[in-house]
Amino acid sequence: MKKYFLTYLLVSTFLLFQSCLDDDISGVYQKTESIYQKGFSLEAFEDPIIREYLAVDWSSPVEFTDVDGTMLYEFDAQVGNGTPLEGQSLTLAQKYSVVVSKAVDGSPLEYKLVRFLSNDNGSLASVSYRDKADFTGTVICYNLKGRTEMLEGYQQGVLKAVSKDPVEGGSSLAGKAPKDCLPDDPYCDGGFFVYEPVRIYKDWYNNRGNKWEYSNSTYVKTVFTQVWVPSNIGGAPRPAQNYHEHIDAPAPHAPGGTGHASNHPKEIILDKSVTPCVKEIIRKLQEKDLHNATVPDISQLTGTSHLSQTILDLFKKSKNYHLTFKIGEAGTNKNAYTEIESNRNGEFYFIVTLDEEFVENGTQLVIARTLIHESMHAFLGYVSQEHFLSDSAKLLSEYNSTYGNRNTADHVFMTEYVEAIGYSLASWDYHSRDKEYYNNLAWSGEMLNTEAYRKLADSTKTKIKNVNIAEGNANTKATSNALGIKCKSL
Amino acid sequence: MRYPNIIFLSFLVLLSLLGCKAQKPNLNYMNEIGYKVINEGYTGNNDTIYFKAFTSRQYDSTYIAEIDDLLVIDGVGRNYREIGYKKIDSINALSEISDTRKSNLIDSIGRIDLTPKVRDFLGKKDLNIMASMANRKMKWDQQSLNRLKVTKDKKSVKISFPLFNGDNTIALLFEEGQNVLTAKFFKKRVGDEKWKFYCSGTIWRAD
Repeated sequence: MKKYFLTYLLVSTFLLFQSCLDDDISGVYQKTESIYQKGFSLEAFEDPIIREYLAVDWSSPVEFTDVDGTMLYEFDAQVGNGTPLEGQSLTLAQKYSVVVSKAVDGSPLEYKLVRFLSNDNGSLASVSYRDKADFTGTVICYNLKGRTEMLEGYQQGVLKAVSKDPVEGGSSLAGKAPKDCLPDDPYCDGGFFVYEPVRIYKDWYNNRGNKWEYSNSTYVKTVFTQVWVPSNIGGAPRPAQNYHEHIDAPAPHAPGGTGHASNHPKEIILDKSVTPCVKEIIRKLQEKDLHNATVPDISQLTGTSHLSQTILDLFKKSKNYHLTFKIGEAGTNKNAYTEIESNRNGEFYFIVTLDEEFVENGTQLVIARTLIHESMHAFLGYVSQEHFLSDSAKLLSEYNSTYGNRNTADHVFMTEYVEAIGYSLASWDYHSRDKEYYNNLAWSGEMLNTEAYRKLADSTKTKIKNVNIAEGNANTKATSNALGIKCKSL
Repeated sequence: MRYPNIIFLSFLVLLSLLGCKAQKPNLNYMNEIGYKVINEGYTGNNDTIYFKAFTSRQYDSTYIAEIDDLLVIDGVGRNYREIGYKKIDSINALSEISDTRKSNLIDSIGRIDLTPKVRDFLGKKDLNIMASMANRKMKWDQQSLNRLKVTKDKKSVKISFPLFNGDNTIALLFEEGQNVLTAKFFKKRVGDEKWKFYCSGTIWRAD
């Protein structure tokens, strides 16, 4: 009996110790994690940035009771590096919490994702759902599908406005969410919630060795975020912000390693209509020319600039000038067209649409030529706006007066840069053909209706027409005389 | 009658659909008559303007109401441009101000004369007037012609019916060539006989 008693004592002591050890190591914490993390999923969440990049720290919840006496757990959460929401003139700090109601009677857990969107870019380290500290801005409560269930407007930590069950979506900046004023709140009447569109882009990178190099961005979707605008901000009306966020692709590599660098290199946008082949053409147009690079002259290993590379680089780096490429219907007999738009904040958007028939009929060489041509339109638009006192802008303005429209003016201007267009095309094609071939192909579209073209020798005009027919266009397929290859043959 | 409510409701829906159709924004154009703008200072490409309807859902009254946000002015009439250059020359000639101040003045003054924004010369009220005008049925009659002078001629470029601001000092028309759509603004001082081409913005251009 004594022997059994000793064994029993040892086993009991071990079990007791083990149990205490478990508590010491993980305590209540591991148990709550297993319960609360298990039922949490953002698979159906609308905003792709939150869906893909929200990381919750399930290890250190804060337990507290709300005004109704409900027990709640708050878990810190973060999207990527905790990057702010960037607009044209405002940068708004933001942070997240997951708040879970405690399961007491076996009923399903209730989750809400809480987003703190500050009215400025100050630190939100001290702000939580439990304690708003001196927070000024908007608290947005989402359900796990991304639907906004409640909005709150805070000023210096004091609740100023509430909107329960706000209407989703909306496309107007002035659209106001319903609001319940708090009793005796002098500020309530003036403050309001506005829907702000947030454009989401996916940034693509090429891996060269150990280095990630930005290639281009693709537009993903526009989501709407509600922002509380207090009544007493004073001064001029707040300009439209055109907020945007970025997802890195393929995630989660990214410079910085988090998968959400939010570095905003969105100035060359490739629409989802752009095929992989055309994407590759655009990527190559951004490369410097290595044709004249000679080893051991190491300085030339980075290559030399040329027209398309310079233009695309300019748009890639510019904050206010944006270039988008699409494939679609360009109209009868047209290979491509370029639209120009602006907005109140002084941003300019050049949208190039390549005709789908043209992309199907033409060789990659002629598509590259047309992309250079359309990029040049965008560049001339940039010069006129940004450098309006330059000789080029003056000349374009003069041509515009002379010819009555800017399209003709641009094409007359381009006839003076035929060799630059030809060289850029040669660079794209690694100088595989005779220089004359590229220069002949540089003449296209409306450039053939200019005085400069009419003055060319008949034999040159014939060659120009022949190469444009051979390489294909919106009306006719490339012929066997084409030197370029079509996208489909890749 | 088993379903009187459903029938009545259907009738209401039909009426509302017909109503919507009648209210659909539409720029008004005249068909089959060739015109050419002949106002002072307008330097067209001497193409004759073919005054014919071009249907455009995209560039309708909604676009006109927001044109101050969207349109990029990329051409200014020669006379107005020269005024801009003269202003800049006089700023450069000032000796008592710093180069930074000169640069700022040139940026603000020069920009308005050489690359104006629509909001620099047209307010929201005027744009709303123009937008509502685009929604109305208008006759291209002699009275209209006198507001912006055109001459009857033959084809090549299409122009839209001109739209006027509240005090009839600024006119806007759309001009569509084979490969370009442009919005053009004309100015006329109160009491002046002739309109002057002021500035234009390219909406789209093709290769």
